[in-house]
Amino acid sequence: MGMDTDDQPSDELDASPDVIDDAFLALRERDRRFALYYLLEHETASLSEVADVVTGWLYATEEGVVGSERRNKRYLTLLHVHVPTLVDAGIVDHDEEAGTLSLAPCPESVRELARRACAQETGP
Amino acid sequence: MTLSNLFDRLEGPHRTVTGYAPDPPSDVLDWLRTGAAIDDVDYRSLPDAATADRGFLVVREDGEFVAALGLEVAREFLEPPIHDPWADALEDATYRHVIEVFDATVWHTLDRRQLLAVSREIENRAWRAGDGTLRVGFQRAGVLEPMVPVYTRLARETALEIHVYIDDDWTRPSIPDVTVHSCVADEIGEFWFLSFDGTGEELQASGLLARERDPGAFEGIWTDDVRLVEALEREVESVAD
Repeated sequence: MGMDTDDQPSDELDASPDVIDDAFLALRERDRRFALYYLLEHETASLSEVADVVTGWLYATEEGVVGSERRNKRYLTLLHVHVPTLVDAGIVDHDEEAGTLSLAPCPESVRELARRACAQETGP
Repeated sequence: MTLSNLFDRLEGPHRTVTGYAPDPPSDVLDWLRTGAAIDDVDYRSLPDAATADRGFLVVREDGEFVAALGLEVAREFLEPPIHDPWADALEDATYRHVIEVFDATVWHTLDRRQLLAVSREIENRAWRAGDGTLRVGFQRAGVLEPMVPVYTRLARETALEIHVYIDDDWTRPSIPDVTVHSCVADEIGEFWFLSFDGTGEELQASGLLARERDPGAFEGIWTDDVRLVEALEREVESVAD
């Protein structure tokens, strides 16, 4: 793990149009957005917990209950598709050995985008 | 063996429950902490921007995800609506998910309404199966009395074999196709129980065993575990002999 300052957003990081393009592309999938919303709240979480949270947050209210089969599918898709996409976009770091995800030091503007999307999508 | 022995040996799975919701934590978590034998009940925040009614519980067994349950769904079980065993409304009732998820959990505090909801779940299963043996215990004749129409219809419209046990004399008219066992001065009066043998299909079997700890306050368990349901049936039959 890096020092605390690593996961602070940096105004010095250049939010170039390419960075914003990548962020929008990465965040076009709901699973990836909800994973990021949770990391915005907690900075770091195990991939396993993120899979639990994305599953519960997206489906538990609507369907009442969600079982392990769907959660496990979601875990695999996160592992193989969504997390690598978030990592490539520079939004999330994946410590594969520890099995944890954390916020990458991405530009504040990207985080702000995600916060606004979170309020829209999960709020009243 | 007795019902008390069986009850005292009950042990639920090692489970933890984590509540995910924006601050403040839901009162459902307090209810789980005090009400159920769950190893650990935790809270993890969701962003403040999120609405509280989209909060949820994650149930884990040995650290592995078992189920996610909507917090509002869980809350409904605090005071569940009561429907007849054959009612369509029961099929749609969301608190049933709570019964499903907390199968085999030992509860320290359940009230009559919650036990009635669980009983209706088991009776509904028996109703849908339409066959098999349903055993139901009542503490007193006065508690059975208002339920007579329910068991009359269950017996009339299904091929179920229904046995009702009371710690009392039954001086009312007999209930057609329902066998009433008067077991005066037995431990039948201390327990609220139901068992349905699932007509031989393991997936259908279910049971409830609860003991009145204080007036109106029960400790208990419900289960789909066929061996436990069989053990419950054996105890009930031996007590009633």
